[in-house]
Amino acid sequence: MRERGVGVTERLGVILFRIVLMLLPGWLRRRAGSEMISIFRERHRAARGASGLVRAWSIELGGALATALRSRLLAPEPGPGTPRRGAARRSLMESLGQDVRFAFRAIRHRPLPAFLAVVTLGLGIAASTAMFSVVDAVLLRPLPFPEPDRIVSIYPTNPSLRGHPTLGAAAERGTFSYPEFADLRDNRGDVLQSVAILAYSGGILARNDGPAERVPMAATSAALFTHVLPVQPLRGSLFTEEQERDQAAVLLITEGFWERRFGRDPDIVGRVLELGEGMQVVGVLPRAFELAGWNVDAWRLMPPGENRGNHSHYALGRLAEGVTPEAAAAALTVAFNTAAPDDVGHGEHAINVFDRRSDETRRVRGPLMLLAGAALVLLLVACGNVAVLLLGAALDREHELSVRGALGAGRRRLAQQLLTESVVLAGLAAAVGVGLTSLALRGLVFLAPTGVPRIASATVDGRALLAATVFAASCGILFGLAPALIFSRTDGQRSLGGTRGGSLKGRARIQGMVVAGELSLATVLLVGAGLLGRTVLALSNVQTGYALDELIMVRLSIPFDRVLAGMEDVERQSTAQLAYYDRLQQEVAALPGVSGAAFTSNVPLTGDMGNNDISPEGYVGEPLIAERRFVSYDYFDVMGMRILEGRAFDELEDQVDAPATMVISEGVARLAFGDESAVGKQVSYWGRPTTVVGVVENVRDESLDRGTDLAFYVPRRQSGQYYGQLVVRAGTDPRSLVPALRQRIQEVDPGIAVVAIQPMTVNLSSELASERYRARLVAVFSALAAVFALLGIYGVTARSVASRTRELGIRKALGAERQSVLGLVLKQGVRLAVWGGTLGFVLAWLGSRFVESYLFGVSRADPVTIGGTAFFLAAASMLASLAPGVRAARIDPVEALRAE
Amino acid sequence: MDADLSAHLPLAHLPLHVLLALAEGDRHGWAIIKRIEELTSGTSSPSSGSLYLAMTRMQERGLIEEIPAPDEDADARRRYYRITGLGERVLRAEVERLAQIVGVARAARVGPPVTGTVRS
Repeated sequence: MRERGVGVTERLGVILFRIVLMLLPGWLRRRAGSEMISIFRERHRAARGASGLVRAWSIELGGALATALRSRLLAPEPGPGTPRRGAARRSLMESLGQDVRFAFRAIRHRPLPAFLAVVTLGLGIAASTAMFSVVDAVLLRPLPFPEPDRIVSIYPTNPSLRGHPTLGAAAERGTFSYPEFADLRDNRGDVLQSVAILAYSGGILARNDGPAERVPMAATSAALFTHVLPVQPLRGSLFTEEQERDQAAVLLITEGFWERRFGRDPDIVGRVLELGEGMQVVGVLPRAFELAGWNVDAWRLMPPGENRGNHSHYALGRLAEGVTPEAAAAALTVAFNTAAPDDVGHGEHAINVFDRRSDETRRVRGPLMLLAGAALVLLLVACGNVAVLLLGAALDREHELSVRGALGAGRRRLAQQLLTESVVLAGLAAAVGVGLTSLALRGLVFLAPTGVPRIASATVDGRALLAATVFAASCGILFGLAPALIFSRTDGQRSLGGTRGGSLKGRARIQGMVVAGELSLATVLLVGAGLLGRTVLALSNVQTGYALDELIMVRLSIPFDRVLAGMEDVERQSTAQLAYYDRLQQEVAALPGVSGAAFTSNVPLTGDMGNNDISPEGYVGEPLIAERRFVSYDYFDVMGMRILEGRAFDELEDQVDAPATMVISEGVARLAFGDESAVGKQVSYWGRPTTVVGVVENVRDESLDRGTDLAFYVPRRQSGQYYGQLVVRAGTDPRSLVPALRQRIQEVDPGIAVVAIQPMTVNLSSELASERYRARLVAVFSALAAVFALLGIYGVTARSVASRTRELGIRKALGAERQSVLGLVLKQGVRLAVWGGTLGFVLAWLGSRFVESYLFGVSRADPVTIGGTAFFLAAASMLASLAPGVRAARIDPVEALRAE
Repeated sequence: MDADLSAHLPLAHLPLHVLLALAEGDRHGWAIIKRIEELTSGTSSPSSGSLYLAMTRMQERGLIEEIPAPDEDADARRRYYRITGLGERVLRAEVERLAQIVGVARAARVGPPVTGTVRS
């Protein structure tokens, strides 16, 4: 029957179900098979959501399996009255039914190899399907907006930053200032249908029932929701052009925020939220409106700005019909540069236009493909393992098959039966795989580092499941067919005669080759896991240059609109602000267990960035861009940073009217002044000549893998820049201090919204999250692959001992020592490991090019990893062949010779 | 109790519910499953496999029988089932047996308190 309009998952489910139905006794299958399939369909369609689907499938597939068992073991075939066809005209279907029964019996007869094959393949299918489902959700699925291919990210370039150690990324993807964006918007011509500006913003929402709450927000253009990413509001309406023109204080909130904060209050539209200023909610955005990197609770309209130097705005656009990103980039670059006022100019800045989906997934694409590759290798190893098991089973059963051949079973009939067995195994494995896939997928999503776009929306991908299952099934068929072919070449007579001759050796060799191949792939994964694991270790052991373990970061959002309300005079405002900060710092520092608290513009390991051109006196060369830190005078002391030359700031320098001073990093000192002393030299930033009073050690505060070598520090009052961010040094365990800190801050002012208070070690582990994820997954894959491969070694050596009983017996009769017999078997296992391992190391060397960019502190030819893997392979392969070896050593020569 | 009925008793969970579902009217397989889900407040949802295994045996024992599909059902793959006279008597006998057990249990103060009248 043709199925039209039927989903992939349903079709796949029906295929699986049909496979399982083959296990049912013929009478039941004939009677109820087609109805069972239609019930399977009904239940599939009635299922809601992924969990409903899993439930439906497990009820039906599990139920059919259980019924197969029960009807075969407990229920005899119904008596006369059941319509049956005459035995004389056996149709193909009927013989197939018999084969399935045989297959079932064979599985019951030799449960262990069948169980291992099913579990191995099931795991392989689950791992690869789950991984590809994630790849599909993150990388392949189009963005959830109409005509998603036309959505683009737009950036100004900054060619002078190309190759800069920390700012290099901004060379191709810079940020706009508002006037620059306006130049772009107003001169975009006909390549961009629409364009919207985006910038992060935020507000404090006071609460009656607890501490104030920080609401992450973004500001944008009305066009974002109407043209660039068209969306239907869940409630109310979107921003209008009139509101944008009038700079109305209006708000669109997200469904998540609506639910969490307002309990889905139906009267939300029209309400005014006090977020510094009163902002009226005009609409609710549905959850489906998801923009990677902009995980905010509310959107407001962007007020126009004048400052050409404030580069903190992003742009998203929708291409006009038929325009490519490249063509748009070229046209916009020309427009952008001719639009700039003569006295400003955009200099070397060009415009980059990237397809939005590939732009937002650019950081995760490589790692995800790497993991998907690893999962595929695991599936290959699993297939190899099944091949070994099936080949082995065929060798074991050669005798049985010969007997059946001699009794008149046709060759084709026997081949068909072996085939059926492997298909049944593959079908069972697929059923196991289906069950495990959703579990594996849940694990993958749960463990994933933050910032992987749309990973939460990953669902079991029917196509991937189908592909993996078909792959596994063809694997089963291929290796089921191999023994069938081998058998058909066997001389039944000879086999029955009992002399196990040369052809057997040939087949054992095929098996050995497959095991060696498995081992080589497992080696590739082991080496990969080793390299990635050592990367995590190396990163967590990085010397940061400050007392990371004793520090707590405190990020606050302070309600200055309220604190400074009624103060018209700027001077008075600034004094009040500083007094507020001072009180906060004193209160925090006075807390028992706190040994110091300092303000900073950039908290280490949080992604905070800030940098400036600096011009040291007498320095000629490339323009110097250095990290900029505005800190309170005791910052170095609290952080535990070493002053290498000169001194740290003193309290008198952290004053508004103090003479301009700065501390520079060792890196800047070396680059600008070479061997000369930097102390007393002049360095300008923002056009302010400033005296260097000290040189501080280079630290790693932006990221672990790159030092912040070029940096300068300025007392915050001199800079006039204040941030509600503290680093707090704990004398004792920082973790235990967090609740007290939080409470103390609420006591200072319940209107403060705590953005984050956490030990800096938490920052460290979130820095390492992606590296850990990669290392963990590859480690799991490689461990599974290694176990599969070692099972292969065990299988091959055990079988070889069994088939060489006679030979080993003779050896012992001729005086061979136990040890030498044991050694003989162990050597066989180790030989497989050597072949597989050698090939594996070559493959790993070729493949490690793909991981090289994810490594830190280890080379891809890391001797520890390679040595460790080699040692593991040798030891594990010996262990795997130990049991068969001991069995061989215990062979009683008399018994062995008599048995044959 | 009818002697030949006792051979069919006690009924297992699934056959009992199949009979209960069919006692209300003729149904096809999927409708029986849906009705059993309702009767058990969703705690029990038999798979098609166990349903047909059970129903095949019930057919052999003459408790239910297959009937031609009503005209309005376009889906020819569906097969409809009806409870037989024997099936009805077995169901009644089983329910009486269960009621008796419940009565005994209540007298021994096992289980929930009596909220209505129970005939034993």
